[in-house]
Amino acid sequence: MDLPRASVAMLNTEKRLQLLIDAVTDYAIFLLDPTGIVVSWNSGAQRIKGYSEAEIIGQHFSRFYTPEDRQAGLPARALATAARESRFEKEGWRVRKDGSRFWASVVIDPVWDEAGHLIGYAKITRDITDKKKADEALRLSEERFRLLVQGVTDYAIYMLDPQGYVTNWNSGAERIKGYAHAEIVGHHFSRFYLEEDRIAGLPVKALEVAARDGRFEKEGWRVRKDGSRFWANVVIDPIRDEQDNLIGFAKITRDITERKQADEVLERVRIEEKKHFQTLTRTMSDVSAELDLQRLVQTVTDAAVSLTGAQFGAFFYNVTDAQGDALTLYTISGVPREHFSKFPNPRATHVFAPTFRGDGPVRSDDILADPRYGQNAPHKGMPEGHLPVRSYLAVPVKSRSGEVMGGLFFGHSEPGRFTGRHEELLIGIAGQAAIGIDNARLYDAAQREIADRKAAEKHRELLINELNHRVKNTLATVQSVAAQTLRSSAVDEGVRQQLNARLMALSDAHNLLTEHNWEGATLGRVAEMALHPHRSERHDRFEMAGPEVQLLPKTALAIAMALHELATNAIKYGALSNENGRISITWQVRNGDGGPRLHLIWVEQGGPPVTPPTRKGFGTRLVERGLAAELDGRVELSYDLSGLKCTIDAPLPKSGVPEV
Amino acid sequence: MSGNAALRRALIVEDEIMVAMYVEDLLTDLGFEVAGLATAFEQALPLAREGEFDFAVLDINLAGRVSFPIADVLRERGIPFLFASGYGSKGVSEDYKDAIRIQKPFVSRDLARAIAKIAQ
Repeated sequence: MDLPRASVAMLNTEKRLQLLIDAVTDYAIFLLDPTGIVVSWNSGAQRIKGYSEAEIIGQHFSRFYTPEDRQAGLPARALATAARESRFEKEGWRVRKDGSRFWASVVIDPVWDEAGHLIGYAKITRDITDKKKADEALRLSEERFRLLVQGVTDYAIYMLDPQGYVTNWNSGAERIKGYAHAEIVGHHFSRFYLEEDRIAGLPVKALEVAARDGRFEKEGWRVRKDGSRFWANVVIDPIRDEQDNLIGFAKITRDITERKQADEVLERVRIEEKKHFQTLTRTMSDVSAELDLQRLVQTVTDAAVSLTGAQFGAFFYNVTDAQGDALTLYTISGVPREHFSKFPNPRATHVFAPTFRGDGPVRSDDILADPRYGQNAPHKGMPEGHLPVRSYLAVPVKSRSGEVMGGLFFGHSEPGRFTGRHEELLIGIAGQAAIGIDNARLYDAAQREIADRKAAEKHRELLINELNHRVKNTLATVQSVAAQTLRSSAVDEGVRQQLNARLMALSDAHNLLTEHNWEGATLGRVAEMALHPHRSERHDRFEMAGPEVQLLPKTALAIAMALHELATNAIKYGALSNENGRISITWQVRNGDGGPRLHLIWVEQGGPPVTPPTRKGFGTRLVERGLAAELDGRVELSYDLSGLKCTIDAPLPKSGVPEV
Repeated sequence: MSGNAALRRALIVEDEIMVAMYVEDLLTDLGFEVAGLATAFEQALPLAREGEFDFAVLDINLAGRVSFPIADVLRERGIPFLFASGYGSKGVSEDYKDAIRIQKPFVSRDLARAIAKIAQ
């Protein structure tokens, strides 16, 4: 490389240094002669400025300056400063060969010879555009952050020194707390607290917690400059330096009074909903347990008034009276009944019709302003003396089958009192009312049915009693006629007794059946009753056994008469005519193809030897033929030598067999 | 007051004449004297009030009217009586639930037993 001749001898001895300088690429290192002409150039200079050594040697260094700096004479001033002060150092814009600019850090040192003459300048230039950009970015960022903090108006953001004195203040703090920057900086932050909190030492504790835990966060009341309170969310963060020394606190305070109020409103709504739910549940259980229609509709009306906050409410519902006539009744809640009793029931006006037709709910914030209002003659609105209604809410009460059972109507003298929520609640209540009314109606119908049936039963009992009375009187008359007739003729006393006994047997059987309303009697009772007159003195000579069998009245009568005849015969000729004879009556039920059948056997033993009668008397015929015909079965009398035997085989009605 | 075993004269109240005659025969056969016989309520009431007899046999249903007012009079006078009726126990008023009663039709023995009971 070519070096200025004046320096050649000197630099020859510094060959190694020359090589080193040339190897540096991050710094432009070059020499100027005393007038500013470039006399040396290194590879760093070529890289940074863009000129090759050949291009630049011999050129004036002022070309590296921007035109405006050249105009201002900066290059000459720089050299003069360097010569005068032995050093010139500055940052500034410089221009590359291609015209692009870079931010340069420039150092110019004067070079003196041994005699003290200025022989040139050493110039070291560094491209610090990147560093400048970074510094600029940081500065901008910090500025923006400051502006940001300052511009935040929703948060009070400010700093405290370690003792709690305010050191800065943003516009949010001013807005929220009311103090201007100048008023508050230097004052202790405890003035933002309520007096009682200050006394309790809360401010100090907050800083202690922040310093200890690295963060303090809490909600609480704070006081503005004007003394008013606000509900604050407070966050305090400790600020520490690089050596971890506490240098202050950052404090962020938010005014969340509105949120707190919203929370409180929500809480009130929640409590109200809970109350509604309880009312609904209670109504549901009341309604499902209530079978009295009047009380039921009152419960429903009261619950609905409570749920909607109405001043008054009415439930008009349709009923059918005992005569089958339809009429509309009503219950009132919230006001005395007199307020309604002077008016006729609501008619199907434009306002009421949708409810009575079951179309759906009608809700109006101001019924007076509703287009449906005041359309119908004669009143063209509410009649004189009607309760003042502005807010209006009505829902139909419809059964599952769609029948409109009535309507629930509610009013308030102030407009805008009923909400969609009230409407929903009322629809729920109406649904419960419908179910309740359905139940009450079913219950009523069932009660009426039971009462009807009881009355019918009572009537039947009376009829049976009366009939029995007549039969008994008739039997008594027959008895009397027979007695009179037989009295006047020379008839054997035995015949008279036999006749009387038969009449009595018939009467006894009637008694037994009357006792059971002529629904029948058990075979055991029939046998006991028929044999009672004969058995009482000869108890040990009868044996009776068999299951419980229910007999129809007709069968019971026939068997009673047959047993009476058999017993009478036994006393006269059979087992009861001596001292030792015995009678066994046993029966059982057998299930055959044609249904259950009764088998009864009368067996006499120990009486005198038996011979068949030569002539069949009334008793025999009654048993053999009469009974068989009555029972639709077979009756067989066999005159065994050991004693009379009578077997009865007859069908039983299916229901006559008790389930075992 | 009627004496215990001193029942002798009887009043019969029975609207069915045939039955009344039957009762009359039975009482006579049993050795009693029939002091009076009424077949209607209006006829029976004055007899019950003023008649001279020791006991009475009362039908309950007198052509649709119950004979309990007659029994009330007898009870007042301390004269024993028995009911002879076609009604079962259901036809008797609560007042006379415990009164001696025989059910029609009845035979001489039933009547004799009932008279014995009211004589006690």
